[in-house]
Amino acid sequence: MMKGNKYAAYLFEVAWILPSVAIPISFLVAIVLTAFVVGIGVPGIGGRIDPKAISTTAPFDKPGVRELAPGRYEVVIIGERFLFTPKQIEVPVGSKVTFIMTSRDVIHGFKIEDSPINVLLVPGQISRVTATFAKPGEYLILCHEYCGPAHHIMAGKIIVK
Amino acid sequence: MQEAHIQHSTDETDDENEEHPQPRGALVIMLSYLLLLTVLWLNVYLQMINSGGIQP
Amino acid sequence: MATVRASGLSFAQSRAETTRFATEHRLAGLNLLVAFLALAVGGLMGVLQALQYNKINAYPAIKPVLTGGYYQGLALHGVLNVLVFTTFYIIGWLTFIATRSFDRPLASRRLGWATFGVMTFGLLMAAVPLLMNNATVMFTFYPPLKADALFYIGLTLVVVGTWLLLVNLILTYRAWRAEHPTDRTPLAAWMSMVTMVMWTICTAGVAAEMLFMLIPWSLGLIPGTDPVLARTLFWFTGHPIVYFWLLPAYISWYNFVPKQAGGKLFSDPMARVSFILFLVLSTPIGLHHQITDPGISEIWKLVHAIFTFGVFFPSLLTFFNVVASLEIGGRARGGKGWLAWVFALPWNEPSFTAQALAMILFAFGGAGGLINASYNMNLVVHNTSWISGHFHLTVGTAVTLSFMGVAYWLVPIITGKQLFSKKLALAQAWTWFVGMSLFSHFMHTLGLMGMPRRTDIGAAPYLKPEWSALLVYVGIGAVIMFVSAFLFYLNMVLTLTSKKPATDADYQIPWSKAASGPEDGPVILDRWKPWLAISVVLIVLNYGPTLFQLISTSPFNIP
Repeated sequence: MMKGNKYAAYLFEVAWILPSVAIPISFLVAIVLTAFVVGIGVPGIGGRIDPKAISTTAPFDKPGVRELAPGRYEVVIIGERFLFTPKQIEVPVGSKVTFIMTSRDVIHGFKIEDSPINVLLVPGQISRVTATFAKPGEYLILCHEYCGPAHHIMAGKIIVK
Repeated sequence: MQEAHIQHSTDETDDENEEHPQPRGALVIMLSYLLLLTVLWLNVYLQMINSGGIQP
Repeated sequence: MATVRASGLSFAQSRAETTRFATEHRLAGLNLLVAFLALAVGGLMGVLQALQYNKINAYPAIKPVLTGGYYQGLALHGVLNVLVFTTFYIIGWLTFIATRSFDRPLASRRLGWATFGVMTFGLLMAAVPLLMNNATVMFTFYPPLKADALFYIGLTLVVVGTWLLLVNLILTYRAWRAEHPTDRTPLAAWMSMVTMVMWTICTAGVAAEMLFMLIPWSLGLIPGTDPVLARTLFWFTGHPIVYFWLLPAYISWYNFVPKQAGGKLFSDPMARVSFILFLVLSTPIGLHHQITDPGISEIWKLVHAIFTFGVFFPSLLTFFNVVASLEIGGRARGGKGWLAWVFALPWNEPSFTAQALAMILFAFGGAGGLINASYNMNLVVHNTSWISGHFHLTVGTAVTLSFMGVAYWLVPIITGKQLFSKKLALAQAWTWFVGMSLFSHFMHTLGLMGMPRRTDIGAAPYLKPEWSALLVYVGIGAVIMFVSAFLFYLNMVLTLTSKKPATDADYQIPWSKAASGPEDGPVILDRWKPWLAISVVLIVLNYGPTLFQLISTSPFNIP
């Protein structure tokens, strides 16, 4: 490209291309380690369900909190216009909680403040996500996927004691 | 078609083969940008880790 | 033979081109007119939203016209700004610049008019339900939210219309190639074609979504859809659409801004490499918009995240190439030192300034984009106002402010009128920059503080005082942008109604020469088959398994 000292020109190109490649690659390594070793994963395939049969299909026939073992909980939540059922849940501090959720009608969002839980509730799909709640407090749960005229009132709370 | 207004490479050869210094300003700006990118990225990465609920 | 058009035209010849390209100029003008009318209405909705964030509720006052209030306004804001403004502007701009770059009119002028006709007809069709609050489903229209069938049919027609430009450009290119068998394709024309090819390939996703699901479903012909499949087909198009928006801005940054800066394009071959990388990498990465979706495997989400990091590279190439080009200009204008040449650039020229400011904010937008694509880091930001902050920097500034900057020289050529006021234009560029910086910075911060997007926050019971404190700055930023938009439209109206004809210099398109020309790059950069083949293979590899899994396991029973 540039005439003149070919060696200097080559070094010059390396000076910016190398970090341009190396820095994003190191980000990717950090991300993969955090996801698969540290365990902050993303939602995957949780199975399908008929939204018309939610009330009679386990575990959605009994929404709420269930202790599986000391420090291990399962929370079943149904999202619909414009509320979460249940809208308030309590778990002990340090609990590892798996949320099993779906929607009865349209796509809703489900995000828990200050936690890695950020997932969509889709009619016909089961959302299965897990997080550990290491810090006590009250955390807002909100619907962040536009679901209709009262979307902005759709919220809940998780109390970590 | 008007040929007159398309400059042929023979006319442009002088310009294109002109010595241009390496764009050291672009290099500095690029490296500064990569630094900025790293800082912004780390900011969100650390927020993910801190709110990840990871038990020590 | 040269393929970078030099500004070797005399003033008289430049002016004469307006007759030779009368149809293309007219088409460009009409498309820009529709585009900027859409932006005016869409932009106004944005101001209402920002006021409502601060509990200043203007919606009751306009209820007769906007029965759906905040959310209908938001739907209009999205559709008119990112679908209508962008698409019409781009079709107009590419029609103009590709033909001027090939130095030949469109192969079929009739097809050119048909393109505009189909697009406009589709727009009018979709506008009816939009304005009647029967399409308040946002520009992403995710089922089971359902709009009136005319909305889906109308938008589909707009997309189909755009494909006609690709057909016309291919015909024009083939005629040009017959007369120039061994020349490299002129850069702006080639880039226009790459943009339209990438766009046509990627719209297969949303076209399939419309044709096989949304249109029959909204007409009552099929009982149900599959929401995750619908989202997957939407984002198949939805990610590359951002390059459909960006690449036309890059065309200006590569082909004209260097000249406007008094410099040259640093490297033509590097520019072509960046566009080929966009062609190949834009589409097989859409799952990074679906990280929080159930029903899609984490592994494929990771694969798409990795490829998304790949598509960041051509933007870094663009960054370096364009800054180096500006540096050539700054130093040619007497600038010295490592960085002081920046001050020697033509900051008194509005077209240059608008685009330079657009580039600065885009750098931040690009960084945010990499963060969004960072797999599990997306869980921090998805569906928060960080996302809104991000795309206002990218489509809202890199693209929109650049398009305004281009308009400052394009509109005089098309209309034959002199730009009314350079001072107004400069003030417009700077106010957009300041307003958007404020707006976007605080939307990013609020997103990290958990504030959601697409939500009537002013009416939300969970609105936090910490958010309200920062929403003030968001509001101020939005108002400053409104002033900027007002300055733009005022300048345009006064230009259109001006009695002052464009000067000889106005008719000169600012073609840049290249320091390193197209002949310095390998011929394979000017071939299509290898890159199209790789593009298709990557799409099949990255999307095949997920689409197969979704389609084969879906009962399509979600009403």
